[in-house]
Amino acid sequence: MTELRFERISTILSDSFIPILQAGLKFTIPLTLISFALGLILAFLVALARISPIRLLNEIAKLYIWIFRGTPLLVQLFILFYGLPSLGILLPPFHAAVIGFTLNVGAYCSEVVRAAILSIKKGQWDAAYSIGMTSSQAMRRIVLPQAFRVAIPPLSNSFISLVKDTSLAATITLTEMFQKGQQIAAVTFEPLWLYIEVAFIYLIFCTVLTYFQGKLERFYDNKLA
Amino acid sequence: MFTIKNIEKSFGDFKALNNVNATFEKGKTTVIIGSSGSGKSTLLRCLNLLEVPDFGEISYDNETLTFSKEHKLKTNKKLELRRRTGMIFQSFNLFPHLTVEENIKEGIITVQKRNKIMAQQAAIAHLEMVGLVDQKDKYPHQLSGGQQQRVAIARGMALKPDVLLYDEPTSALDPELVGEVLNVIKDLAKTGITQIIVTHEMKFAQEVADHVLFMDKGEIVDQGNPSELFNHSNNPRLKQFLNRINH
Repeated sequence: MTELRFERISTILSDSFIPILQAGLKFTIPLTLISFALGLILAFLVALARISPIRLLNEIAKLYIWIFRGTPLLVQLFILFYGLPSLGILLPPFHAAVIGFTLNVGAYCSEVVRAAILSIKKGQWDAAYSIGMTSSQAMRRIVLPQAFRVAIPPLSNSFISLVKDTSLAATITLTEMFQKGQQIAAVTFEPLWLYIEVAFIYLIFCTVLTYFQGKLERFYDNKLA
Repeated sequence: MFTIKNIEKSFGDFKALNNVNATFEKGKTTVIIGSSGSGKSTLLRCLNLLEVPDFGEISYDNETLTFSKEHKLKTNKKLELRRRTGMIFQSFNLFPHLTVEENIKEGIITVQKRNKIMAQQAAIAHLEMVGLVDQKDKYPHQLSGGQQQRVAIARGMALKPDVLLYDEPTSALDPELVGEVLNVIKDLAKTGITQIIVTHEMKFAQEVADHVLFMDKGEIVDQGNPSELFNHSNNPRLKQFLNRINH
């Protein structure tokens, strides 16, 4: 590599770093956080429906999980953004992305939440009932706090997957990190280095998240056995 | 006083309780003995409706709950009875995510809706009773089995139930830890609280019981005061049971 070429690449990379990072802070991170928060609420409701003795709720929840786990996320995003307009439903790209990712997270994480709730021993329910708690008090005060600890590692997995999956939003015209990288690569003709740079920024995001996952786990482990 | 009439309970094809009648006197300690699978734990769990009987009646104070397949028990009736009973489990079932003190306060705050200061005072008072105030900030897994069970007793007592139910309270303990738990129960018996205890500790049963029920195959086969029952019963099934236990 000549010195001139090296200088050109390092200039491009340092000039593009901030715009790509900005795209991450403006779109990737909000998209991830909002979708994951909404997705978790959805996952919790779906898990409750799956556990519920009411047959109809059970079947609806199963149907939902079946559809959203069994179809590609990319196709789901395309249906929301490019497909729905033909029914007169026009969604801005960010909204379409949030809806798509939320539904996807909801389907995957509902099984995690369900398994975590079921992993709590029956004796805990017995004890909660024996002191006079209602089912919802027992769930809220006794079972969920313990189930949450069980769910941290698999939920963190889903969260980190989601950070990277948000790059699919580039295909529905959202200028998140990957899209930004593509745009710069297109005008500088340095795809190799730019995509490595984009990958590197994703890696930083995920490393930070993994660090917090560890902290969260240790916080709970200090309380539990 | 707690009275049960014609209680029946089945799990699938297995009839766990068959036409069980009993009266539990106020302020007395009743011990239920019998071999494994005789229905004694199921009976105890029916008394606070962790298992809902298929048929029969439970009466306490002026309240009578009637059970039948056709009509489902209302949730508030279930809660009302549970809030008058406390239960101690074989495997303690303390809440592992809460400290010892929080374990005791939980029911007082969440269920009885009393304020935090009152809950704290009650927690400390009841921990004193079982001799574990110095452990109040620990988590359950940091305690020995005997200590955990004493916390569980304090948790049950702190809600001021009319009756305390013990489901084999020492069966999960190492032999050297059994004594400390039995002593707490014996002390409580002297305070005049109503206790119903399922146990395999025959010596303890003789010492602490005012009344003993012997169960076999889902039925109460014999009952009486401990000296009568342990020494002078003519019931062949009870004799056989006691023989097996003593050898």
